[in-house]
Amino acid sequence: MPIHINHVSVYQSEEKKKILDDLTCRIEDQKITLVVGKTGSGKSTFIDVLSGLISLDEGSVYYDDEPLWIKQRVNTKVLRRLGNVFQFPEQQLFARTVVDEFTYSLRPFGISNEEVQHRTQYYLEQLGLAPALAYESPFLLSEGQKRRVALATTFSTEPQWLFLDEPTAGLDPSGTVKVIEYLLDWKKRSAGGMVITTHDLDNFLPIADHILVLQAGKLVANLTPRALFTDPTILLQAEVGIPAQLDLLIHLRELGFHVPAHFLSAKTLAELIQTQLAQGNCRKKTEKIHVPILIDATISESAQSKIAASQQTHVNSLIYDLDPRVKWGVYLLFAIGIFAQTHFAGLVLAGFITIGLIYYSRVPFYKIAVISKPFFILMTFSFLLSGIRFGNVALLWHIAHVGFSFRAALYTFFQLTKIGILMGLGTLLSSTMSQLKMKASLEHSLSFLRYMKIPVEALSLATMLTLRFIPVIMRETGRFSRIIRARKKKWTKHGTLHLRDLPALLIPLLLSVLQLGSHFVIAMEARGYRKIGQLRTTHVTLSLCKRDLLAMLFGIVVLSLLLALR
Amino acid sequence: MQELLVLHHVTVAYTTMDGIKPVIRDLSLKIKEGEAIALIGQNGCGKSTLAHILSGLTPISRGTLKINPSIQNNIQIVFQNPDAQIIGDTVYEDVCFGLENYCVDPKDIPIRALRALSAVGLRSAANRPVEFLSGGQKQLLCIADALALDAQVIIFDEVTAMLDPLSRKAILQMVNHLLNRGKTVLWITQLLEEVGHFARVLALQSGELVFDGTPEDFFFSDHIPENTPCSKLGFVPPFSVQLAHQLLQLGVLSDERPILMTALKDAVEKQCQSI
Repeated sequence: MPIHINHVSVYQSEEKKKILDDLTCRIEDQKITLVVGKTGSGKSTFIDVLSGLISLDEGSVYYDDEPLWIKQRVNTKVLRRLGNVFQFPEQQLFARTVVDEFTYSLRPFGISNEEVQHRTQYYLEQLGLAPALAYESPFLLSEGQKRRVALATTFSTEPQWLFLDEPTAGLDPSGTVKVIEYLLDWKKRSAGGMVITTHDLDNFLPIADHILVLQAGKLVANLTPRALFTDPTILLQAEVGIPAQLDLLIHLRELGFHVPAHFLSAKTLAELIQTQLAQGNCRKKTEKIHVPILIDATISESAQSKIAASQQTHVNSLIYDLDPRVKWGVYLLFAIGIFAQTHFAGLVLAGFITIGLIYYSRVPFYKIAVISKPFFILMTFSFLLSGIRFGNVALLWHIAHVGFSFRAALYTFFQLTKIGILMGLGTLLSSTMSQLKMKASLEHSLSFLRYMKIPVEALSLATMLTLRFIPVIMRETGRFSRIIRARKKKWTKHGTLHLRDLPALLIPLLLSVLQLGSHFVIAMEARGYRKIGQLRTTHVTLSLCKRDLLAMLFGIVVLSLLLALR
Repeated sequence: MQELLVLHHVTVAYTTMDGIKPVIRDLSLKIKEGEAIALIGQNGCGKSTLAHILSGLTPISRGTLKINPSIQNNIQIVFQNPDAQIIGDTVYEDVCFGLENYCVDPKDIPIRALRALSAVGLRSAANRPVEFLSGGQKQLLCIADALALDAQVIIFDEVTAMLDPLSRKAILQMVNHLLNRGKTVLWITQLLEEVGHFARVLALQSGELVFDGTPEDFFFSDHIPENTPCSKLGFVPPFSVQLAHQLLQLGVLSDERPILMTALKDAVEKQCQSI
């Protein structure tokens, strides 16, 4: 049952950039396929595509003759034959007991309770864990045990295909050896195949049957280890680097040794070197094949264009360069003007100014929309709710005793629009200012509150940390909801979560954000930020210049206009 | 060389539900100026805790830590996950954050920040948003953060664990460069081949220091591979060392003790030339 991937492209949401660009290949069963590429080359997205975790923007994926997607839905028949092991699988655990973890993973398969118990015992043992662990809380296990429990839950669904994302990241060498042994054993027993993304080429190249090399979302090579052995330059071109063992074999070949095009054990290789040295096969190396060492600090072309684009937005936009205090000031003036409104005319003007400012600042509209979207949903809901009236009152329309008052609803809508506009402006404010500058300017402009014994620095530090953690929380939410989708084996294109999946999302999310937070606090301390209120200097000297005064003037003009329209 | 850090019978323990759990047990250690030290050990053996003790982030339960007054405040640590330690939005801003915390005169901040960025090759990227850096470049930025503060001792806590081979190479090149400049480095790693870049190896097991010596002794003190400290302590030697042992047994190599693959390559090439 090979996988056929035909002209698959995936776009980054709302941006025109391609994460995967027109991929076509065939992945054989009964084989181990490695996906290599430097960070950001699209490896993880490729695994998501194969396991149906994200929808395709273009192209198709077939398992033999079965399509992975049927219209907007993933083909459950195919899905049940797939198993995913995610990076740091130990972080996905959430249930009260180990056996509950298995129950959750096995629920989509509709198997009996006895069978769940049986598989739990069996797969715990397979991974070298005591079956008695089944009734323990997963959180009381060691990190290594947790990882094995998570692996066992995936194996217990008895998938034909196994997709693994960096399975040995963070493991010590003996743990790595165990994982590799288990994967080789699994390969012998399974009818499907295995797709592995990894940086650990030293350990995985020797067991690979096939290698896919990705670079900037494109499939730049599709080859066997033998071909890679003959010409490893592709690994350098794709900025991955050559693993130590392969490097040695190439070197031996350059010295004139006859080396087979596959990996050898240390013993065999040593004997080969001894025999061929005795036969006088090797020669003094004369011409050194030029193998460029790419230092990471030199930046690839694709990255350069990205950087150029990003710097351009910063340079061209005046709003980025304004004094942060002025930005706050203008924001406050707008807020006063907007809240004073009693007619829609003023709000329309404020709305236009906001849109104009977003356009002028070149912050992509979707960035603002992401944060405002939930608010707009809330707004619609409140609009409808506040219009509902009971009893026989003369209204716009009514059924029996329930009616809808458009006027009342409009009033709510009006008030909420004010907050909506301010939210849009607030998002713009935070996305045109770095978090450290934000902290500095808050401290600066609120410093007078110090005399009232208000902890200004703590406040501004909290604001900075909150802002810094919003993207982290979004990213982690995405990561864990992906894991849930893979475990429950059923979802639509615009997947929604059931109530019963909430613990599986929230518990790992909370734990991981707390852990990141604690790492961050340790790092802050390590970098010298040891207590609030300590003496510090600052590298930004805030001073007002002409453009700041102009911006302030603009704020005052807008305020007067808004007040006049009131 | 003068002693910079001296740990004397140090124990660190935490109170858990099951009683007191020691993470570091009765550990004594001296680190001298300019030393290149690799620290190895299995997951959960206390490597990170030791790094935190040396950088003053974890209090000691028993024993003493003496820090040479000449390096007070000059011990910096680089962590595994750069996203959890970079605070600035741009490269330059991040280097400044540390300088501000140590109350460096605002006049001196630009020169110190830019000099540190030059040292790691990120000078031209000073105004770049951090989100556009690769994993390896983020780690280089963290090294620059340490250099800006004139760090004399730099501790690296598994910084190459999540990097691709090429970025890993770049970071190790940078560390070699730092050692040449006289810095003291403590390099924590799971990848035993990296030990070959250092002059001294420390191995931890369940919070105890079980080996303190040269990498050559660690991998080659006995001609039977199973009897070396490396194997006896349950570590898997890297492929280069496994191959070197086989070549020593076959008599292809005689007195070389190569640990890095490049050293092994050179040793074999020398044999070719001697024919």
